[in-house]
Amino acid sequence: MLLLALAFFITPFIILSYFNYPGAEDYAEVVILNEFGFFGYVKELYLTWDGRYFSAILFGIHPLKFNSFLLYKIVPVILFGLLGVGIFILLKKLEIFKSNLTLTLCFSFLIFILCLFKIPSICWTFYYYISSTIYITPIIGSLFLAISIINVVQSDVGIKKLISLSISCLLIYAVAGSSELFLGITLLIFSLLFLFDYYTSKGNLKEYSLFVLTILSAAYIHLSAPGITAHFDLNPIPISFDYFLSALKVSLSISNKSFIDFTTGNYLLYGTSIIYSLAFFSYVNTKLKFKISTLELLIISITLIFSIHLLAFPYYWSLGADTNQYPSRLFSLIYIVFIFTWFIILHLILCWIENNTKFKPFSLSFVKLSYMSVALIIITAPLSPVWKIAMSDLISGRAYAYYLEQEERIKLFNLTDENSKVLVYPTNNKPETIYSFVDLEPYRGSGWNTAYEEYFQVGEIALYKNH
Amino acid sequence: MNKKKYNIGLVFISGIVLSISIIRFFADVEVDRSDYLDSFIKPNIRKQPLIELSESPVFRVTEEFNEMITTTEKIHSQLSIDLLNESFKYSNKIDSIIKTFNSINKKDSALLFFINSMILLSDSFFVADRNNLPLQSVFIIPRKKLSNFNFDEDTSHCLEIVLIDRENHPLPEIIDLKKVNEYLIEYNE
Repeated sequence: MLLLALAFFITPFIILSYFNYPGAEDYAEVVILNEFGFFGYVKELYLTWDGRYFSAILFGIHPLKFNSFLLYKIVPVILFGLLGVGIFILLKKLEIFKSNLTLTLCFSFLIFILCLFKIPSICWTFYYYISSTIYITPIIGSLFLAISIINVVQSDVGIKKLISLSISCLLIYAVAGSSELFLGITLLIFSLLFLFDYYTSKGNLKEYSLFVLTILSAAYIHLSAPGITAHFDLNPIPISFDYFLSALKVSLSISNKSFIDFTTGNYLLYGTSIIYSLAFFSYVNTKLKFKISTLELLIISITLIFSIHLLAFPYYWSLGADTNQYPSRLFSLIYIVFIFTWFIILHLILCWIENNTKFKPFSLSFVKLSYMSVALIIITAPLSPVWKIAMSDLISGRAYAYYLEQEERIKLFNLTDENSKVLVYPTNNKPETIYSFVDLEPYRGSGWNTAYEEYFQVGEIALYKNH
Repeated sequence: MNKKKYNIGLVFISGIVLSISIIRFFADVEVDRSDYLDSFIKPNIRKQPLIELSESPVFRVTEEFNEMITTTEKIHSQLSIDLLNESFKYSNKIDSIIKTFNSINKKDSALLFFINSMILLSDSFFVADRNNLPLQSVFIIPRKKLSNFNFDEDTSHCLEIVLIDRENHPLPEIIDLKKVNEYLIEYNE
């Protein structure tokens, strides 16, 4: 039943991966990558673009570098898989469902669905490689970082603990080198955990010190990138208190809006979360001892709530507080962070109810509740706006038509030599789930068109003006 | 493994982390700004919308510029006639225009399209902050209001602006903000 529910929800997204094609920015980066080579390219990005060194490394192994469109189509499937597997291993590592694999899978599945349920920009988060390496990498990296940290905390002194420590440090470098936002979040969380351990003497002070040191090192590498300076030179931020306040106001209001959107919509899903959580914690509290203390959870949840409300701030600070633009890629990232936070908050509420009222939510029968929840997931999945759009792309034939259009274009480019001009039709079918809207442009001199020309070694590419 | 060996391992990992920071500290990562501009504007592949706006050959060569206007007309007629009408309707209300154009996903293309449409179809002045991303710093100034427009206040966050006057300056001229007032005085005379 669980497998059926999972297949029901995820299959459209997997099928759409096959119809996925690179956008213009992919070609542009691969052209520069081919010119500089892997190390030269990573260095060039670091020197001239931004400090996201780990994303630069992932750009450097772009599937198109190997001239593989198939590999490009597989990447989103890998990302979906890593997200799901990361959630599952994390729950398993917490040893909450030690003897019940089905329940662990159920709960992982719920979180996974919620992560995709209303995500503002699934294309730019999963399908469009050049963007996904920035926006989903830190999420997946953070999941595996949390797993690794649990290994460190749970292991006895020994070689296994040292290996886990090394892996954690590498993952910290990866997460912090993907996104400035996650750099800030990890720094905040580890600093608080360090202080918590310092005052309670839990015995992991040395390890937490190493983590804080590693984040500071990653922060130094990230924020001292010359590319950032060049960016600021080109896009100067006005240093004025009014501008600062204005950006803060806009980012807080938009973050609050996304928070309210989540908590007021989709009652079925909302109900499912509660019932599932009851099942989850009834098992935890009756069968096993929960390994993370309420205080630690409180620290993490406060940090995340604080972060969620301020995650959008750098965007508005650097791009102008007056804008009405909706940074959908950024909010995809904030949305997923919010999902994880939501479960932590829910747990704290249930703990409080259990300890302070006569109602004992944790004593409910978890088996009955689990089956109810799986049934509810099946009912709920088609309500997901993202799922509905994916299904519409498939059923309307838009995705398949897009696939044929792109295949035809690529065939034509491959048949054209570097001294010839080729005319192609503008993209007519634009499946919302996979089409990035970064495409050939109708005017000459467009950088995107140059990227296509360079990649396919075509003299000139132009669009038919009338389709 | 005893605790002493574990501590040595811990110090070793800390040493590696510190070494990475030290290597970065001493690494030669200074970048020549002229190289930077060359490498991005000449290939024109990795987009920097407002550099393109003012520095790309599209705006420097008259023929190409004219061709672009023609193309823009086509786009306009195909896709955005309502949008443009809406813009002109509110051409003296800056906020409305900015809002209208924010509704377009591809903001850089929208900006280019907008500029060309404005030049082509109106006698307005058009000011864009080329040092910031588009749209939030776009000003449309109807000619009759130009003398009252306060550049110091309204464009105070811009370091450089692009001022376009269709009648007198068919090609955009990059003007330092400090020189804007001089230019205006000259124009009004």
